[in-house]
Amino acid sequence: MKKFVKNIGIFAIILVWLLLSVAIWIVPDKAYSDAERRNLAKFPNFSTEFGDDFDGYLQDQFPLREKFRSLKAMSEYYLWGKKDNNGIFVKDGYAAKLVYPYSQADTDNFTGYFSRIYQNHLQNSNVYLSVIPDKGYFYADMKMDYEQAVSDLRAGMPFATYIDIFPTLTRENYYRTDTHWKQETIIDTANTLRKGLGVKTVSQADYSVKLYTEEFSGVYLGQSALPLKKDTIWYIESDMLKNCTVKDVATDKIVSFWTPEAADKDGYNFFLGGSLPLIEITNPAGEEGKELVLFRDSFSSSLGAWMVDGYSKVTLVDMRYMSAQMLGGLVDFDGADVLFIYSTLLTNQNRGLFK
Amino acid sequence: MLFSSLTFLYVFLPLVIILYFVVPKGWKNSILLLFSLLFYAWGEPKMILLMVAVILCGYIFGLLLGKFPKKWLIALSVAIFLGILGFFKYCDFFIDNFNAVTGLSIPLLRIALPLGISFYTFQVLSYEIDVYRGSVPAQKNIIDFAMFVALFPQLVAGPIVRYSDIASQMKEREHSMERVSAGLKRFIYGLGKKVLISNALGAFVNAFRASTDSSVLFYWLYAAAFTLQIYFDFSGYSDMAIGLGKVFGFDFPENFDYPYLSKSATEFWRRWHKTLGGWFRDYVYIPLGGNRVKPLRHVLNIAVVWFLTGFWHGADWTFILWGLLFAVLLIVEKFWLGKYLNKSKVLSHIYLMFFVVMSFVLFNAEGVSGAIADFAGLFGAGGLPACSAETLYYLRSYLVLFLVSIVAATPLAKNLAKKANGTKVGHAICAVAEPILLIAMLLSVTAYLVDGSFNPFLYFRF
Repeated sequence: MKKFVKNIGIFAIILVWLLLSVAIWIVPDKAYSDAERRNLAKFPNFSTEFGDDFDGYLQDQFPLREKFRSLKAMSEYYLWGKKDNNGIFVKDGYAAKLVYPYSQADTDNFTGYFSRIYQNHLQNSNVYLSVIPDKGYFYADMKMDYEQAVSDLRAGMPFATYIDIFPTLTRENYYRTDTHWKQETIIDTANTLRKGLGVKTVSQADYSVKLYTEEFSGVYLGQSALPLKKDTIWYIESDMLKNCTVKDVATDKIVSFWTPEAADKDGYNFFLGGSLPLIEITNPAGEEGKELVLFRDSFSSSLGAWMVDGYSKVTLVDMRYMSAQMLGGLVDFDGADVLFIYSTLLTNQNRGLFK
Repeated sequence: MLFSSLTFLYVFLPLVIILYFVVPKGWKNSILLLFSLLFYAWGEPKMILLMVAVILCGYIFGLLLGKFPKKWLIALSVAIFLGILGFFKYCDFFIDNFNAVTGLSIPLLRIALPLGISFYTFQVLSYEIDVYRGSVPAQKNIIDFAMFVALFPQLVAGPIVRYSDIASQMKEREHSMERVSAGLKRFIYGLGKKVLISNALGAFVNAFRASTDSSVLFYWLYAAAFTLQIYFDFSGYSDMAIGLGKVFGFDFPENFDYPYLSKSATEFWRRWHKTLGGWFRDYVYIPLGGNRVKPLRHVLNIAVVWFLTGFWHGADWTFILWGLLFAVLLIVEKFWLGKYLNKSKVLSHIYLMFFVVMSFVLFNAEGVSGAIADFAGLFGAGGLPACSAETLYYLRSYLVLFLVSIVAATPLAKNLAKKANGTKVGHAICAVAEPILLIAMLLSVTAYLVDGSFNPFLYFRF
């Protein structure tokens, strides 16, 4: 008995160790990680790479994986006092990605890519450029040189009139747990853009704000692995928007400004179907022949609804998901207002996307 | 396979420990051999052939040297093992330098360096020499010999276990709950040093290397971070190896003894990688005559040993210069500075740490030109600012880690625990607190490994 008491500590250690070792083989494998929004590794086939593949598999399928990820994140923040965990930082409940350092090479790639599009398609269009600051711009301890980034983007796209929306935004315009801005809060941003484009501004009174969900887990909630409070998604609605026709050109299907069916894995996909390459919005109340083309990233999924008023047609083009060669045959740019509007998350990291 | 991997911790290790203790005594070495070969083959299956060849070669030469301890036979044996090491580790280095001197462009062989080759060839070499000298009998059982060479706890990162260290334990060794307990505790402490401290410092080193906004302060922080990283990595691996050895009934030699407490380079090398220092002392320095020769020859002996010590660490001039830097320090201490170092503990400690930090900047540099650039950065050459926004960000982010690392590099915690254990109440508290601490460490390590945190292997060049 005395010996048992003496060794009780080591028995406890061995027990924890063995429980985890056994649980590896008992706990069923998962196909997908909701928190990290990615497919998890499956048990590997036997090959000369089996050892490395098995290490990866075990890392993905380890029992209590999410709890361990949280434990690590909490150790990093609260024990070691780290400023970020895997490049994600949290302040006052707001999580964001560290966008650092400024990448001249990515900026050059971005401006070069869109300059080619301008040369090939946009000579007869009214071209504008706007840059959306990522959330970190407002509160990161270490941030890239945004002034330099905007300056280089403007210099690299001299054919576009720049519309500055930085002063219209604060951290509170963004979801706490996600990269994106909140649709119901960006009317000032939308009106700044609309003024820049030369169309009349819109009034909050023309739109009603409705609740979609109070259970929105943004991308940083999973990536930070910290117990952050979930976000609420509100959206705007109006008769004008309801009367519009929204078409997903790739599938030739009629969709909607509001797509809960697309939002099972990412709540933000509630807006305009998520990652669709080409969307045409036809507005019967718009001015005949007045068209807008948005070259955009996912921020414009929620911005789009604010930009429709006054235009008979708004086309949203996401060049991350379509080839530049197809552009001329799919979109008519003649006489249209064309707005390049991208987040600094993308302007600063795009070499794998725009080639 | 790495100790700091989930596969090792939660699949390999439980399996080998359970099987080891379940099988009859006569099978235990076979189980260890089988799992050691699996451990080695896990990451690079092809290299297992080389390991088997080294084992067979070492075994046959051992038997021959046991029967015919001839000079030419030991010379042949040493030449073969050094040849294997030279071919796999140094071939491209020699070709590269030959090309540079002659202007030729002989293509490099680009052979992948087999994991742990420097460690296991040195172990076999020491065995052959010991058998030749008659210090140990040749091992007749090939399973036992193969297990000695391939024994997974110390295979890839030491300590360098000599045959004479464990010859008797190959046949008879003690197994007990106390040894398993002590071994597992030591293993977890080592694992914590490696994953929680060394890897985190490694992430700082990486951040420094990726920096676009460097400063003099950032260079010094990098130098301190790498100095701490390599200590915690290496001593963590040694702790894990010694702990695992204990679980399986072996007593491996200690490899580190708080080297950053040293006050001279001489003392530093009595505390740092002791098994390597001991190996070169017994198989190179003393055969060359050691210090029982004329002063000039003595200086040459030191220079040769430290040239080889540096070269052992990697096929690059930076490692050779690193070794020679210590040669210079040791010679200067031996013939002049030594007597002054005893006069001030603080100054001698500052002197030692300055050169240790500088030596590790050299050690971790990317070639000689990289080393020059790093030293230039340390001393503010080229108009580098004293500080930068990025430096301050990382300093704030890693400050706790730096402080913990510095304290953990001293025996403070160990001494406190020892003192506490001396009283009845303290002993009771320690008996409860230690297992809790160890479980917390194990779970934290698991959390870092599950999250795929930075987990470098520093010995790929060894």
